[in-house]
Amino acid sequence: MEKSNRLKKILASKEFSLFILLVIVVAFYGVASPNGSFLKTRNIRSILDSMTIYTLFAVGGGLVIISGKIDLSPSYVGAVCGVLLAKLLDQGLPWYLVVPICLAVGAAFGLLNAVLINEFNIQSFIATLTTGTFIAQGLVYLIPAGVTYQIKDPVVIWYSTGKIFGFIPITMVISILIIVIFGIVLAKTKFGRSVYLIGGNANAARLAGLKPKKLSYIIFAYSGALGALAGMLYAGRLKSGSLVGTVSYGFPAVTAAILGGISLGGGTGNMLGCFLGLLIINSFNNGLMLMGLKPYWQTVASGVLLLIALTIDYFSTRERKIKLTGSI
Amino acid sequence: MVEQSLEFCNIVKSFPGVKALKGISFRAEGGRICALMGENGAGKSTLLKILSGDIQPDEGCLKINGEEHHFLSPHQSIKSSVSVIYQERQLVPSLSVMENIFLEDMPVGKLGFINMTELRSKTQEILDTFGLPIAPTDTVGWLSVAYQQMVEIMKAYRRDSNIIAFDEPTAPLTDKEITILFSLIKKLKEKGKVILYVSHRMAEIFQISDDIVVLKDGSLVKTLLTSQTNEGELVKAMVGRDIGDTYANLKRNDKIGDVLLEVNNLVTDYVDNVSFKLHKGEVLGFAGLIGAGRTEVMRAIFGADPIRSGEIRLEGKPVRFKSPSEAVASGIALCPEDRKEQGLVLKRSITDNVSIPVLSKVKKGLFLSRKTENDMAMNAVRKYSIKTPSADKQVMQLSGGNQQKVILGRWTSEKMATKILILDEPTKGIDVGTKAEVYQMVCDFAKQGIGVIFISSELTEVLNVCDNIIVMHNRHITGMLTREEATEELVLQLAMKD
Amino acid sequence: MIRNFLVKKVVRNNNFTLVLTLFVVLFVFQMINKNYLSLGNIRNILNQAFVMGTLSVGIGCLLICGKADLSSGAIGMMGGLIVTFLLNWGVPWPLAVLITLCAGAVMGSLNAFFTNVLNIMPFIATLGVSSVIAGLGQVFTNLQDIPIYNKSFWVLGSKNFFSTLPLPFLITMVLLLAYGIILKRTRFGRQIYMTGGNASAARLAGINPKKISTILYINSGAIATIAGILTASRMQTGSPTAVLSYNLDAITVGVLGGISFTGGTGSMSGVFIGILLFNSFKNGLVIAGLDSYYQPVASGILLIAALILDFYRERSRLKALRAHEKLG
Repeated sequence: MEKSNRLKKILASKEFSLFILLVIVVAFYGVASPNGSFLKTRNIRSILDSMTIYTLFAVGGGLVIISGKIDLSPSYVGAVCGVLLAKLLDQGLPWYLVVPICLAVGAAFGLLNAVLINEFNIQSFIATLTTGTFIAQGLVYLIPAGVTYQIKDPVVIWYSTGKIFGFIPITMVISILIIVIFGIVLAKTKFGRSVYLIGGNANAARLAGLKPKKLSYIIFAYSGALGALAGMLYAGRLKSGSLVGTVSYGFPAVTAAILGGISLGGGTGNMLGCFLGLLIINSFNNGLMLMGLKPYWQTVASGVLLLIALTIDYFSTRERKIKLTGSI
Repeated sequence: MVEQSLEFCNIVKSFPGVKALKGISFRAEGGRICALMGENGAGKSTLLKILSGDIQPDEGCLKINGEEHHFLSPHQSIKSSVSVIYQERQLVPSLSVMENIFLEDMPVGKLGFINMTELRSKTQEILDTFGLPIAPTDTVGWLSVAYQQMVEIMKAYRRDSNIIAFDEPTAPLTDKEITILFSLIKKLKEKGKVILYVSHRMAEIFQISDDIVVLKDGSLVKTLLTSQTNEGELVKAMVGRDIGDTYANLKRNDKIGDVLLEVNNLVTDYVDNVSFKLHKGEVLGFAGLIGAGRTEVMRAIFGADPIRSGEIRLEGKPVRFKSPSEAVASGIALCPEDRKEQGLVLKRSITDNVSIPVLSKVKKGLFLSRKTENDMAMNAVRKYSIKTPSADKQVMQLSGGNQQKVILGRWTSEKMATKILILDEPTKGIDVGTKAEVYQMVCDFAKQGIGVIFISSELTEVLNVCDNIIVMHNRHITGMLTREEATEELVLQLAMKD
Repeated sequence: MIRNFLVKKVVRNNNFTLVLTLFVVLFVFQMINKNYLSLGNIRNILNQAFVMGTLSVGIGCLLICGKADLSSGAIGMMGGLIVTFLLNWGVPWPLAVLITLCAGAVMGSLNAFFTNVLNIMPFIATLGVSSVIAGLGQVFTNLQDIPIYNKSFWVLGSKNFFSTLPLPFLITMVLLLAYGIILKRTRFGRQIYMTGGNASAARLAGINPKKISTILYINSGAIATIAGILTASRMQTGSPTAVLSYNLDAITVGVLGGISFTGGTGSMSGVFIGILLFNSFKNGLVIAGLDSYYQPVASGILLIAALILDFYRERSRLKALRAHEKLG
């Protein structure tokens, strides 16, 4: 009895429908890709590997969305931290100083966002867009001031490009560790629960004894620091501070989080769904490439997938609303 | 002149969990002022919303001059010459007075451009009729609430509708504006218009109305001629439900203990000079009209709003909470009036909602203990017989009464150790059966030594459940009564005292 | 007495502060570099301003209505491509322009569909639409610029009046003026303010808020293609990267010009001054010899300053109101 109930619950869950969607995507490309190259071990590894940077942005972005806000700045902050990493290493600072400094810079950007949002009542969308596309974007150019710094530090190169057993990239391990840790934090700790509660109804959470403002600062700091981490890994892989950096990674990552069931408006979603969302988008894009389509289609695809995700979100919440009130 | 009339024919309207209107029928004649009276939640506002086309009835129809109407939108209602002046002002703060008054019907010239001169002069005319010292070009957002209310009224006046409904128009007004408003309403009456007038203020009703329709729990109880009735009869009609058993069977707490909370000369942005004492095991009622400042007093004590001056002592020690989380840590609990907006996280489960204030106490090491949480929630479900298949159910899927029980469950868990429980309109929007359960719960809390503050706009409830009653009016405390002294008339007088 | 009142009104007027700031900016940069206010440089400033200026007309109307639009840049880019394709197929330019405008309206109606029919947050819905359109632009062109051979079309972008006023900017000014009059002097214009200022009041007064925002999204799409057409004409090419980045700038000048993000306030005259201020500021930084990399950072700070000013203005209004209440 108990068991069949649990099974029913799993079958009805959003994660399960995402899983089915993933299976469909995989099955389609498995058959349609030339020589079945989609399902070769190397290709699967390359899908997982291509997810690394997206995963870090999706975790931070997802965290902020669950808390009822949105953060569009991390991908730009990542680019800043990429060039900062390269420059500071070039100036001879040891990696064990540079890496924490970059993380702190990322967190500081998050705190700046939190100040604008919490103290000056600026909508999170416009506040993070401003700090991202104007301030961080400007710093990306200002920090290197025209020089492209190469990264030669062996430790940084090791963790950015090294492989465990010569097969599993360390960056992949880092990103999976991060998503697992945040998944557990969200599901099991007081902090995680609080994120859901303030995202669901900040006012009620405050009157029940939580501190939404303080939490918001912490959440944005995490998001900024995760962006910094992503930027550093990206720069480490390229072995140089790139001016383009991680800028284009932010939007698809948020798309993946929303596709994975972290709905805008806050209070719902989890990291498992987010991970599945990432897998679906990356498999989808990888498949497009294998089929010989131009890479530009990926931009179109991520937009279409986002709009589809939002539409599904609309219909699934609408059903519930109708049941409740008899109208919309 | 054609004789105007408005008839409500068997109007039925349900909201999830509540039947707001249970078949209301009555007729209002032109040239007479018809007052709608009833306690909060009697269905007056719902009726007006149906009249304005804002919501649609489940059954029944409106008849204007004998002709049947079904308004599907506010647009249709306005087109049929109906104007409703809402209690919540429907103004655009960023626009000027004249633009707000002529909101949907600005005078345009030949080329389709708004004729500003005409707009201004027409507005000035209306302002002169009302005799108000504001200019047509003043921005509404910068006006005081009283003037904003007058703008709202002028909006309806300008439409020159045949049917005009006022929902508590005088609440934010001062005497001066009330005089202006009443002479105006009388003028409209002379013009033969149908006027509906909703108010809680007795004196007003007798001053202005011709007929009185009394509603209660969504039904029409009585229709009276103002000239042939008196305050006593009216109050009786408004509150005279079969309350005998509900209150008689209440097992009350008879041991009131030491002083628990002492508030001296509390001043905030919203209340002036409030002082009172709450004892262990006492149920202290706060009566008054909506907007009297009762909720604001509690929010200030709870740390939700800033305090300007004054002193609060909890068990003799001075305290001043900077945030609700500090208040909660000291054992104070607040159940807000607006459960959905301020009380519950609707998207989350019963369990999640119950454990919010004690999350630190359900931790095992780093992680929350799902089992402890579940036990807490199941305890609440059993103790208060919350109707749900499991504690994992989203709170938004519960009825209003059960939602209220979830909040009570949150604040009365063993881990919470609540000393003071503040209930703000705890029975609003819940059915009669559940109300009785809530009353007994309140008494049970008192028996456990909890000090309960019970805010309610329903008089019978306050009079029968509370040990002592404080009455507030216009940001002040206007009186304190013991249970023995208190009568409905006395409380009403204090609540309307100017 | 009356004069006193007038002075107060002028000072409280948002545009007054803006004009004052504009004069200070002009004065300071003229002091730094004598060439700042030369005819040639003024033409430069205006030529840099017309793209964001045109976009800001459509976006400004939407912001006043309480809606956001992040797709205008992409729609403008696509407009440039469409007109390029049409011209190179031999379509006469007036007809090509007309067809492009219609295409813009169709793209705008996509936004209306997602925000009004599916009730998706405007920010995220228009972001999705933007991504799809931008991606399609890349797909159609292979990310290559396409030259335009129709010489009579070039005139649109290259003609100058009095050697300082470029035709594109003149068109921007005409649009600003026309929409300024619509907003201030027509019923429809006032209904836009009502919808943005208090949608519930508008609805209860018999206005359909969804109808208004639908019209405005379609309108914004059409106006965005004007920006695209003018850019294509000026560059004599259709480019898949043109116009895109000006979307945020257009929002920035709107906010600078006093349009509040919550809707219901602002005017086209404010937007006009905002455009001048933003561009003369940006240009001034270059003229003053600062690295062009400082531009985004400075613009970001300018925007944040405007948002914070908005916050304080709102707070002082509420304070004044409360003081009033106590007296009354």
